[in-house]
Amino acid sequence: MATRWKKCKDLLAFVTFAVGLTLLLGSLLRIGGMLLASNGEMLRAQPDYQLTRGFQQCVADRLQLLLRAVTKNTIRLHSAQGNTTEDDTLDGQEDADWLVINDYGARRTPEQYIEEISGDQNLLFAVTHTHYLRYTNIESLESRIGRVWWNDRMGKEMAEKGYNFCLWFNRAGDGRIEVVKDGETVEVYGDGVDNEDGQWYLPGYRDLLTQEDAKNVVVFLAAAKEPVNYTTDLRNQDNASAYYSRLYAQQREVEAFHLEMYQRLLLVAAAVGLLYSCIFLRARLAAVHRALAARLRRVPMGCKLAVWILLLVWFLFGAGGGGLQTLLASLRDTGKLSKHVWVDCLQALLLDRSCYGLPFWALYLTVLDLAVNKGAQRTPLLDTLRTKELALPLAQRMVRRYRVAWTAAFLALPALGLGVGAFKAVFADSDSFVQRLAEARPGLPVAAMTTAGGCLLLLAGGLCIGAGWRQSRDNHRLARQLEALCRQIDAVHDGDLGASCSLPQDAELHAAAEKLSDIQAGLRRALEEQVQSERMKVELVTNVSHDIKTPLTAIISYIELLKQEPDLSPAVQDFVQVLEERARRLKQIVQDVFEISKAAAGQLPMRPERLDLGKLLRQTLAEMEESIDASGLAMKLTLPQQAVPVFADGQRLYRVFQNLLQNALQYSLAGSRVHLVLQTVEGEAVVQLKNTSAQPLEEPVDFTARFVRGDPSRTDGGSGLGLSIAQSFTEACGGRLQVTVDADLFCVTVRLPLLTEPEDAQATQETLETGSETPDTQNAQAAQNAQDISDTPDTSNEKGLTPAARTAAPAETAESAKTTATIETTKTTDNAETAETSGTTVNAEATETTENAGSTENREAQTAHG
Amino acid sequence: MNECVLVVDDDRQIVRAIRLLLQKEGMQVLTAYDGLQALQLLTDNPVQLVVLDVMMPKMDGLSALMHIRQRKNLPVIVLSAKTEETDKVLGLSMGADDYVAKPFNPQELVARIKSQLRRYTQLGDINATHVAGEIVNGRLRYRLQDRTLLVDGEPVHLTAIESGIIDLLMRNCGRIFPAEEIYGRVWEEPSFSPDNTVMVHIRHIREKIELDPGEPEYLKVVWGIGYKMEKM
Repeated sequence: MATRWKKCKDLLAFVTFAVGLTLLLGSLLRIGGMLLASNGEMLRAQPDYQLTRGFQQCVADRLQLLLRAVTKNTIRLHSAQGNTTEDDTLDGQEDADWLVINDYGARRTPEQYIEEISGDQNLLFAVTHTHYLRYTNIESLESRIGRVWWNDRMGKEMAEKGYNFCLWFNRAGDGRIEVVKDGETVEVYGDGVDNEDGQWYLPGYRDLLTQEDAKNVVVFLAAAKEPVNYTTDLRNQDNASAYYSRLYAQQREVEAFHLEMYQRLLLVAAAVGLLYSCIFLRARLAAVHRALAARLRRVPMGCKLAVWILLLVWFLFGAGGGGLQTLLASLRDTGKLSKHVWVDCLQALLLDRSCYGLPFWALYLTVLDLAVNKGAQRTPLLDTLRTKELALPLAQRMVRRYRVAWTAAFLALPALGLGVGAFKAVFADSDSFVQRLAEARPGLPVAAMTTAGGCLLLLAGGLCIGAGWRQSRDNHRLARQLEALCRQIDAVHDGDLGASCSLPQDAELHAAAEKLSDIQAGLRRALEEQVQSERMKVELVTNVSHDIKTPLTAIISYIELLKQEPDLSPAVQDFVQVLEERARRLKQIVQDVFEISKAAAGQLPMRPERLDLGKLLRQTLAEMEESIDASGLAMKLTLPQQAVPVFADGQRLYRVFQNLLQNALQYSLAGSRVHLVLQTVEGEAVVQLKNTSAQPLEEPVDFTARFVRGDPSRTDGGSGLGLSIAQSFTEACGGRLQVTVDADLFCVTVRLPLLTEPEDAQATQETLETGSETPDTQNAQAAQNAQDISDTPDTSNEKGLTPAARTAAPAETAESAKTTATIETTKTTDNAETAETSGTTVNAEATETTENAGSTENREAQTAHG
Repeated sequence: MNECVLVVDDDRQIVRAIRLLLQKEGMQVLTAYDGLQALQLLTDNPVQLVVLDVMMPKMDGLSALMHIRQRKNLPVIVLSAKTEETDKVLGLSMGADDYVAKPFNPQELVARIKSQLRRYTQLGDINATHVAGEIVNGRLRYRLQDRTLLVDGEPVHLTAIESGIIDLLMRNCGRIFPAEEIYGRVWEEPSFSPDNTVMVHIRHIREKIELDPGEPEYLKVVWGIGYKMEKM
């Protein structure tokens, strides 16, 4: 019940609104049209019809015709310039014996005309020629014969009879008009010039002079205050059935105008009232509008367009003679479109009774639709086309769109041209084929049809352009999307996995972008997982190594305590020795595992600085001198004297070379030579360490992998981490480590990027000085010394300063022989030979010491070497 | 000697081992297994040195260290299985006198304990008193006039070359010397390949002054550049 009432209320609201709006608009348009058409004079005319232009024309016409009738000649009006212009009412038929043309365009002899108009007592007339009365329809004058003198008394007499308007022509013999209305003289001539606004087309103006032969004519006219309908039966005359009083018609017209005006104003008031009442129903009205909009949304766009095209066609050809026909008629008649024609046309188009206000309501609904639904239109046809289009492959789609766009452009141009041409033929060109055809076949609505055709052609052209533009726009959008997609691909390629390519939901490449995003997300996830797993590995290793370290601490501590026990048998002492050795190794392995896992996860803290790789290698060799000597292997060094600057963490690099050297010492064939070469190649510092393996090497083994050893049985006592750590650290320092195997030759190559600066020595010195915290004069001197030395490395090499060093070194050190041997290896081959011999003696010594120590471990190592 | 050392660790066997090792050195050893117990023992006994583990139940070593530092100024050696540099720095910055990573070399630990005790009991706080004519660097004290080096207060015998190196390095603590410079200034002649020669001597000095010559604290190699005496 409630909903039903609500529906009723809705309906009521809308009907009220619709009726109110229709009435208001219709009435206002009608009033506007009427006012414009009447030029505003109708309002003034109430209640006096004599003020209308129609009345004035009527009087002027009568005067002219009477003058013509009495002079039996055309009335020549002299313009101010002296040109003679022919009165156009005679249409140039001067020879046709004083014919006059009556109010209805029929030709009459003067007698016929006078007879015709005599019955009309609304407009009395009297015409004298040389003071003799010639024509009159005033009964009181008809009987008079002889001279008639016109005086003001006539006016009063006439006024008493109900004729309040009197006009004299040429009463004073000056060819001018006198008008007395309601006893008062009316000024007719104004400024004396007959211009457009001058309402009276009467002789007496300066530029509208009276003919000579009218000099003796005096005309008197009197108009009734309230005209009565006089109808004279003229059936005996040709071309006319009756004569109607023009003044009566004029008065009726004025009355009708006012009546309609009152009606219209009343309607406007009613409409305003209705619309005002709508204010109280505005909520319901809004609901109805929303509902309407919702329904309109469901109507396909094509249907709406079709309705509009139908309306247009109807406007062009139908619309009760309104619309285009009105326009055309107006154009044909006046040659231009005046304001009231436009208003009429608008009224006819929107609210003409013949179309029930349909176009207006169509417009109203369209505006409502556009305002509420914005661009959300249903376009099932276009959608279907689009779906079909989207089913095509991308390239084909683009090609097709270009094809459509071009075709549309080719079609649109001639269509638009023809359309414009049609309009031009109808309106602009005076002698076009359309005009000629219209003249030849008057029955045919040629102009209307051509105009309609032009409209349709323009419409078709517009549609073509629209379609072409649409297709081009789609391609343009596609291009933009492609660009975005390509940018995204670039970003992914450059490693930016977080870059997002957000194409709108309805974009053609939305799916592709989504897929790319999925790939990105997958990559990112994989990467994150990898990083996560690395981190977890480090965490695990950290925890495990911590858990191992604690018991290991106890083990080592108690081994120490055991060792200190006094009464141990030699066998037990040996066992303890083994325990100690193994515990130490275990400790080392735990440390290595910890470090390598950190290096692998990239969590190794690095303190890179500028350093000399050659010096670092010498320092490493010096640091490891004991174990080198103990191994019994000969080192063959090729280190350049000048600095090889690199930018790296010295501590880490030391570990690299320490590990590599240890590896070489541990796995080399006993008594063989180990070659260490440093050189600079193409902006890189290249360190090569070559040794001959004691074990046969198997090529495919990746020695740098963790826990990989040359010996698969893993009995050689190494942790298998040395090379792996070396590689990790080298990479952390920005270098590369490469292992190559040639038969038994094991070669490790470490490449580090070279620091390229012009003055190496100077730079080194600077580093040194910045390193010193309290530089005094002594330091400065020391720096000077250092520079001197570094300035003359070649000379010291050549001029036998080395022997001095050699002699100096043995004097001071205990292991002089070994040192000399090691230094000598850097010299010539001959020197290397001697170094080798001394190396072998060292080797023997080392073996002895190890055997004395009684280390089973060393024995094992030896067997492995052997 | 009757030094009293407090050993704190949650691993009872490690505590026992340390206790045995220290008792062999003739020290009196107190043991605790968590931070609270350690603090309790500290208030009740005249302890001269604390060996403190970091990871312990109830109160961890670093918290205990903070409490100890609020009350006493006695040497504390921190033990930890964590060997990250940051852990080391954290421990030392919180007031530890020394830091020993697990698994430690028992002899090294004992040496460090003895070193700290000597400085604490015999020499007092070295850093506080600065005697003229002496260069003091951590455990090292170098007398300029008679060119003698004292480690934990005990003189060390140095050869002439070693003495020259020590003289150069102690006078310029923290400065990095390339091997060529050391050679030039100690031997007073240029050298072709000084690294080995210098290194040999440095290694000998290390054996005399360092607690663990394998991991030197004072006489350090700056890889690729030279050598220096670390400023403590």
